Amino acid sequence: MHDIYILFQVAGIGIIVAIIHTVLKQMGKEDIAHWATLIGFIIVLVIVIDYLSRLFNQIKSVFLLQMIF
Amino acid sequence: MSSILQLFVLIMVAALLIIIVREQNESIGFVLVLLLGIIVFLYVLNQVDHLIDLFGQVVSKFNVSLLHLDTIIKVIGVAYLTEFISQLLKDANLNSVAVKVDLVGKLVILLLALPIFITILETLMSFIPQ
Repeated sequence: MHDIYILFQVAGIGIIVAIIHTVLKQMGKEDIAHWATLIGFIIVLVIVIDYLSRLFNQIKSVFLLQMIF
Repeated sequence: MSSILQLFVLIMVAALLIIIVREQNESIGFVLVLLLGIIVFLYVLNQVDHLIDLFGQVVSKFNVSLLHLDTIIKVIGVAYLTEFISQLLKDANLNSVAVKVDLVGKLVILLLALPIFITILETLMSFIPQ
């Protein structure tokens, strides 16, 4: 059940990226704000892709799906 | 029993987080929904693993030759996986993509279940007198 930390981590990254976006927008740097949002999303994706691969491997081993996927 | 309560509390907390993050940043909200799905699925999968082990033990113990048991388990696995992905996409307002995932899942299930279907047909044919 220690996976809850990853949930808080991703939510925190989301909120921080939103704050950075707002601040940069207020400073009038629209393009940098969009880049910040994109980079935040990529960081989150890198965190999640590890869990996703673990889930798929577990499904493959539990449901005997080794041969078809 | 307390573990399931723990899981429900986890889901409630995650739902609050998703509601908060979603209005700031739509895409990271989607990733959060995906992450919650992964965590819950991984938890459930541990229990299902025990269940399938137990089922196999019962089948081998009572010497029941349950034909194509592994095919049935595979079909259940594909159905779970397809449902997971499809609901996730529906949540992200991508209904047309979800329909395509459903289509692929149905086709794969049909492909997996083809040996059972052929067995049923052969049995039926053997009943019919020449």
